[in-house]
Amino acid sequence: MIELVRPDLGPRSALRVVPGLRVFPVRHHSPISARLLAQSIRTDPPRVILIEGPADADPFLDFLTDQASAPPLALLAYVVGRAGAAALAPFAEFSPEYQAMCLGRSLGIPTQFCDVPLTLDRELSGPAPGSLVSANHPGEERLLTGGQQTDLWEVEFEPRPLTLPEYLESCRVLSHELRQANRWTLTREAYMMARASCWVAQGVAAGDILLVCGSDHAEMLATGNVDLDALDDLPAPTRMIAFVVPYSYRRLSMASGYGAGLPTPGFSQAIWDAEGQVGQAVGDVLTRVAESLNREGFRSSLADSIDAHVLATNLAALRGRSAPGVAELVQAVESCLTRGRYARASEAVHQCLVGDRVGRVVASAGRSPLAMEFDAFLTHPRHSPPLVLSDRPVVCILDLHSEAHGEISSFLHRLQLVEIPYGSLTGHPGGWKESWRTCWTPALELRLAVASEEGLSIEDVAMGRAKTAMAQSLSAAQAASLFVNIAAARLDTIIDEARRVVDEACLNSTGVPDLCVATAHLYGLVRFEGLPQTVGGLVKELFTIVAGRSLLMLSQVGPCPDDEAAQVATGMSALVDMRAGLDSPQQTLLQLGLERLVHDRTPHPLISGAAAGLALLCQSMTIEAVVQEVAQRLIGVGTEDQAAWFLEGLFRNQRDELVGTRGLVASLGAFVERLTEDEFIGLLPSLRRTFGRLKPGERTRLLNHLVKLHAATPARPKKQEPRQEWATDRVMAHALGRVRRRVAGRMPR
Amino acid sequence: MADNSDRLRAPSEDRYATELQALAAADAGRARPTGWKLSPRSVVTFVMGGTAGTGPAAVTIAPKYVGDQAAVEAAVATLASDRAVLLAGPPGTAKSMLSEWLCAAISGSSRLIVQGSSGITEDHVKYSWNYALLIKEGPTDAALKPSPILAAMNTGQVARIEELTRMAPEVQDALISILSEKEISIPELSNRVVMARRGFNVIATANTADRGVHEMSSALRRRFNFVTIGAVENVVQQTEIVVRRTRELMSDHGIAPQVPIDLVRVLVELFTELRTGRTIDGAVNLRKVAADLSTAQTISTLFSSSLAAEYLEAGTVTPKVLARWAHSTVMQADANGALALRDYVVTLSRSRLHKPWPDFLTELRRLVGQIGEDNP
Repeated sequence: MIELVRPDLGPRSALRVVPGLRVFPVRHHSPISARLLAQSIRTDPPRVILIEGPADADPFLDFLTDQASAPPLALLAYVVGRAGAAALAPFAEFSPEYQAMCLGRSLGIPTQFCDVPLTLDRELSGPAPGSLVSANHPGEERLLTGGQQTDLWEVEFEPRPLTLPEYLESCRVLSHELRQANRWTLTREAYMMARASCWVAQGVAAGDILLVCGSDHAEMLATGNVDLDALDDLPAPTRMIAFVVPYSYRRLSMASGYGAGLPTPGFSQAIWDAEGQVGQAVGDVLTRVAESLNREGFRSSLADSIDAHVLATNLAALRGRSAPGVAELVQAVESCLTRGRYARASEAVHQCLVGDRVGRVVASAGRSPLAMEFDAFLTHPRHSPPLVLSDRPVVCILDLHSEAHGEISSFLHRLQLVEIPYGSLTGHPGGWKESWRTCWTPALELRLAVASEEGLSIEDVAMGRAKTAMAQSLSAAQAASLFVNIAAARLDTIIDEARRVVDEACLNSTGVPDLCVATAHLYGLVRFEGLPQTVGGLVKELFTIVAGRSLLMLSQVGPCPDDEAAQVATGMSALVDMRAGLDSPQQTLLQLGLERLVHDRTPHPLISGAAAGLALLCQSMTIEAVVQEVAQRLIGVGTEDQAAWFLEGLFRNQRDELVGTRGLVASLGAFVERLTEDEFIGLLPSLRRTFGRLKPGERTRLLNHLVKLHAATPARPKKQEPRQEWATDRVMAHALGRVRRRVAGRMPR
Repeated sequence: MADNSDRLRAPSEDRYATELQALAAADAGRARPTGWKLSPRSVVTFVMGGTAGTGPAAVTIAPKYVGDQAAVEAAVATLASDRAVLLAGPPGTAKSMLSEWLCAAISGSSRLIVQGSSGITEDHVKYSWNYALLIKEGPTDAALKPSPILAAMNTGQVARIEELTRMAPEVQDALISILSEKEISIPELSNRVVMARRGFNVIATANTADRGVHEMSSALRRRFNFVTIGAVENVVQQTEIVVRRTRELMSDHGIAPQVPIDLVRVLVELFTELRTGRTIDGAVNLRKVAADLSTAQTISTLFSSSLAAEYLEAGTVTPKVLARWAHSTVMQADANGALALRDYVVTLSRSRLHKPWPDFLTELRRLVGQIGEDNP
């Protein structure tokens, strides 16, 4: 990590507009640009190479081109104290800028970046860019969209066997016709010219300075049509930290949202590897696609790949293109390799075209201590596999019997505490296994760099973050969640403090849902086998205390708003779910609490309904008792509204058993039958939520019971009776007709 | 050119003879594969529409296939090599029409056709005999009855095979050697081997709805390049196809009833919504019809309504007439069609209040009956 220092341009009065620079227009990440640029440098080496890139990033040139580094790589920089303001400049092997750097280094030519320094970047420090103006054709709208420009380049440049003069002329025309310039563009061009002017002042002839820049800027810089007064628009400098990070083709592709990306980096790499022979590149990619498809269960032979190659070439010719592009390639794959089953293969084909290459950064590149620790941990033979540095999500199953997997588990939990987005736990911790979904992203590198300001190791930073969190006012659920993370991350030195925080939060908490959720968090940790014995004992003790308090509170639940009632119902489910972990008196307390909630009319009816379902689940009430309670609630006392809430709570659990009980269905039918149209429409949202939880099979059972109760025997011969769908359809149609007539009657004509 | 006026349906090479001539004239000097009447680019233009030639003599080529141009280009590019093409897709997506247009443009004839079915034998694919002559003269050239495929091999033209996957596997397998070796051996004529002339190729069609009837062997699959022809879901495009094709059919039958475009749109929307199970705007879910209500069925329904209007009504397709034929098509397509139509009518009759929907839905409602009328 290096704090960026902007280069000194010298006194403004010494800067001159230098005509006659040897400008080489490029498109970022373009094999043809990179190939012809390399050819140009080799055949006619310049004395100086200037590259469009932040001028204060010169110190990173050595890291980027180091033998131990491998593209794709990216220069990542962020504003000190404002990590959200960050800039990223990725380079692939086929990026012309990267080739210019490498050749400059190998041929011993002084090489520098020449664009506006990141410390002076307006996007990072100043207001938003102004509206677009065209410097060539004021007032004319002659611009293509980004997608159209990409298509134009992909069709007209990449596949054509252009010579250097043809390429330069094509770029010049393109730049002239499509240039879009705003005030900031003019400032950047002025800065690039100023950098060149510094070299001229040192005695280097303008024609000996090779300036590699986007084709948009080329014409202006080559002709010297630059206004140095635009340098006045440079904003005040900001402090920035920068470092080099590995990058990936997946991130480089446009599909990842990278604006200056290219559609298929894997295909571009193939063209680069084939030295611009697009036909050969198509063949290579088709072979790779065929191999990939064969792994997916397709049977594509070499002959099929040849057929696909022929078809792609013919298609390109038919469309007036000199060589196949991605569209032709995909169509050939669809036609010859997948033979009409492309939907099954599209993911594999896409992966081949995008590529899965991930870069590597030399160890001496001044990365943050946390990034180095992260890399070292991931690449250590004890941890890889199962850990991998991949930018695709990878499921990682940990067996906590293994010491190495235990280390990985605590490492991943520590990363979570530090909010490094690498691994996410799928499900709660519990038992001897943990399942993680891991994925590396460039954002992760930025977080590691920023977090490095808080400590020199991931453990230190995790501990610091945990302490900060503990110092805040936390609910019982939040405190328990934090405790779980600290215990799983094996931050044993602060575990006692975390326990005290949970204890206090639970004592102060009066909310049943809060306590229930806290208990559920701790129950997950009780079952987690990856803890040392001393910590395990501590966790069990804490769980007993918190669960006891939740159960005591359960007996005091009274009337509450609808949303809180739903939270209580969820919390009760958690308590019942973990009843195996409760001791005997606590289990008795739970059963008594549920029974009270079922029979008591004071609590919210949703809670009573949920309690009835849960009591059935943990066998503290029989189905007959539940049916009796349901009958009383639905067609006995209480309003229709309360009855609907009760039903909604009831159907949260044990639905299968409930819909199979005729007595309950009879009460249900009677309840719906006696509703007036107005009442029915009023209760419709609640009823929808209730019955929406039913699975298709459960719904069929419920309807069949209704059919029998109403003696709606099918009119068809008995032998066709097993067709339950038919009976269901009739009832559904009947019910549908009634409902629609009711609803329609309410609608304005 | 033959007089086609009394024919029920003229083949594409006759129907579009003017266009084909114009394209051939504009093709002068352009490279074309051996045996082809037009260059590949002109074949695409013939199918997708455009202009032939330049200046005042330019001829407008009517678009025939409304759909994915890339699929047509893939088919043409395949045929330009020696690979055969299999047009695969759901029923009613103009696969057969596309194969006819391609053959007409490439070979100048779309009549070399084998109609696949469970009843055809290897003779239909290779050759058979005039048995009277065979008995009288023995196996001679005069007694030999070449199949359309053998005829295409002899003349260097493109043959068509319709519904390939409805042919029995052993008959399908007869194609393997034809497609790979491009030859048919006739042992009865002193082991004569007929080798295909340049320009010979095969366009087959297969219905994805028939998948599993007679699955193609992997050996045969490898001899085809697959081009998937998808259903057109865009209502405007579908309406365009339906109108154009129905006009052609009406012209073939010498009738000219009034067909209000609004009604065509109603029919297209009805079938699309029943097929996809939701309204065009995606706002309301509907009961789906199990069978595919394809564009072809839409055309057939509209054409039947036109015939009825011409001969039985006052010469105009009315909402009432169209509803009757739409009802008939849906009932024919799916045993549960009545339920789907009832659901459709009940759900949408209050929101589709602009003409001609109310009249159309009222008639449909009458045909399907009120919900609950005939149900317990």
